[in-house]
Amino acid sequence: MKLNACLLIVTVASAMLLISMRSQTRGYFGLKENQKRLMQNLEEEYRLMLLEKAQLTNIDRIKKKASSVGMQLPDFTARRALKAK
Amino acid sequence: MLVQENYRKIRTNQERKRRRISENTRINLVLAGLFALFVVVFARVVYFQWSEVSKWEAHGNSIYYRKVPIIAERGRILDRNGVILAMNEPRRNIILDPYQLPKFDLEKRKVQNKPALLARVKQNEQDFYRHLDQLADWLGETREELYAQFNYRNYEGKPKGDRYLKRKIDKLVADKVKALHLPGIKIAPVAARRYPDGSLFAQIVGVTKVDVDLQNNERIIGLEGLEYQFDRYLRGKNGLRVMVQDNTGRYIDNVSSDKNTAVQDGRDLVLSIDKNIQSATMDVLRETVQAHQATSGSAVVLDAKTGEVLAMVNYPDFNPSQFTKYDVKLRRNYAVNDLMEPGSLFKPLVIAKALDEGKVKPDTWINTNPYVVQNHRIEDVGSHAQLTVTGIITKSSNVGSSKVMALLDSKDVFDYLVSIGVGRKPNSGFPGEAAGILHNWKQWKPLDKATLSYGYGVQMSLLQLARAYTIFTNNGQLLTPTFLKLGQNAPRTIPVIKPTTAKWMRSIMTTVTEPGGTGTRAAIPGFKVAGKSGTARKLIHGRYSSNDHVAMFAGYAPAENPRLIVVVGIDSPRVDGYYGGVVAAPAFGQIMASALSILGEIPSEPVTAAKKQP
Repeated sequence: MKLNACLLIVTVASAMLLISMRSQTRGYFGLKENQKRLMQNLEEEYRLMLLEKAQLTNIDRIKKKASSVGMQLPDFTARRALKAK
Repeated sequence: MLVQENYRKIRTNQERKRRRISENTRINLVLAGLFALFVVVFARVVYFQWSEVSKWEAHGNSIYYRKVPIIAERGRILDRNGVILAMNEPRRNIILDPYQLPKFDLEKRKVQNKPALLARVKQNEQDFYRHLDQLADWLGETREELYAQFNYRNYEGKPKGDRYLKRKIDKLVADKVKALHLPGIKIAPVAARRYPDGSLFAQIVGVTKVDVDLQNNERIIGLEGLEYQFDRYLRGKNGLRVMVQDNTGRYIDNVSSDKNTAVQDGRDLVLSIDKNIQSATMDVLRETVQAHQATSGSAVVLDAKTGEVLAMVNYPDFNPSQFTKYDVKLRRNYAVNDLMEPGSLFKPLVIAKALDEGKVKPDTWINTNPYVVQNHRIEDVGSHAQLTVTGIITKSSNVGSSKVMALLDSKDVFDYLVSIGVGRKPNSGFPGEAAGILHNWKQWKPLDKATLSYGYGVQMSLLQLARAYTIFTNNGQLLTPTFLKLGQNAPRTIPVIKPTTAKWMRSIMTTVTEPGGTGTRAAIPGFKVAGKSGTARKLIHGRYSSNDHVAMFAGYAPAENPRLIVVVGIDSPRVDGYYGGVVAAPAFGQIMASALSILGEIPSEPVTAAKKQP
């Protein structure tokens, strides 16, 4: 009788523990998913920044900016070499 | 008591026995019934568990489990220095589910006798249309259009399913739309392919399109150029996660399933192209095509020691982000996909074979008076009684090269030309590369052999020409051109001619850009430049045109130890000349000078005064 009671208590306790662990797991899963979403957002931000950087370093854009302040590319075919090999 | 006694009296022993039997029978019957019921239930359970287990399991799973696809990110395309040439921009699709749209008219009718509820429905309706007005502003659509799209009556009788409200909108706009909590609106992340340098790499990198798979997932697939060729490499592999969904649609747990597959993002593709050289080449080519009012132009810059394509430019070009607006012809990579007769650019290849076989030496004199083959007069633009083998290249003599060709065995020449990639695909890895045309030596008549020596009757792409010239820059070893950065990997080489022959050729071809040569405009102060000019009449409808020419120049520098090979082709120049030495040579010089400067090549000769090309 005592053994049966013990077994019953153990069973109930296990069931409760199982339920609470499951709930905890889902809580952690939710946290993990949130972190994952955050990571994805950061990755997207990073990608957008990379794209912006690539657009800012567009050669045509740089040339336009340079020409607007009176700068131009050197003429490579007419350069002077200061020192030969 | 009396009653009991009476009762006892009424029931005899026999009657009692009968009653007991009758009671037992009833109990047994009930038990049998219960047992039968239990057997039926048990049989049903067994049936469910064994016979239709997969069906019911699937049904149960479909209620709680969701297969969530994880879309693989397409890889980036980078130049050799890590500059981004193509990448994905995170965007959002706004999707409308018409069956989630509010039905305010029906709701109002339902609660018309309940003023409080009616007021609430009216308030909701007002809020809804206020949000729609905001949405219309953000999406750049008219309010009327949007009202129509959000009217559930417009979808009655139409097939169920989501509709795109707006595709590939900015992420920030999508976040604002999401915050409105409009019914029937779903927001899905998507990627849009972006090319930060616009048209600069359009014909090499190619274009992509959005494809929708069976699960309604959008994915980007390569359509042309390297995007197409390396599509599998760039695309990656979508993954799948089986997850538990609660009644609000949130995923609350993972499910261990054999259907779970990990996502494999596409890999980045590192090209051999150098953005700076590409840009400089494009500037020169654009200027040349416009200055000579030519139909088009192409230029190839090859690493002389590895065969890596450092720049490949075609003009006119197109914007890859709006490629459908351009003619298909513009999207062709002329330098790889289109053929032209190489003209005089072919002469060094023939002379190299004769030198290699010991038939001639650089100083061997050849009679270059005009002569007749099969009633066809072979002559030069300028007349020379005789020229050395070096002079044949310097002056670009058709007569001289045809006479040197005559010294060679046709089969040997054919085998040699095939070995340097004439009439064969260059195997650069670019889709649709042209193999060119080289007729079998058995079909060669004396005139065919003579004209072949100066590049007629054979067709090649600019890339094939650049590849063939690698035998001069790489000590007689042919290189395979590639669009991918080799890094530490050794290039693939095939020995074709002797290193001494290659050295002779470098020396001979240097005379072309020196005073007296046909390509002096290709000279670069401080460097020895070896090259060859070429002008070919265009073959139009099977006849050589007298008005349309292709002006070409191919060469390498520094001639002593070449670093780069550059080939320039200008199609149909209309003004200011049409000769290769006049139209293509200056472009070659500028491209070579810029590229050498970008690579930090130090001039081998001191330059005392700046020389400005006319």
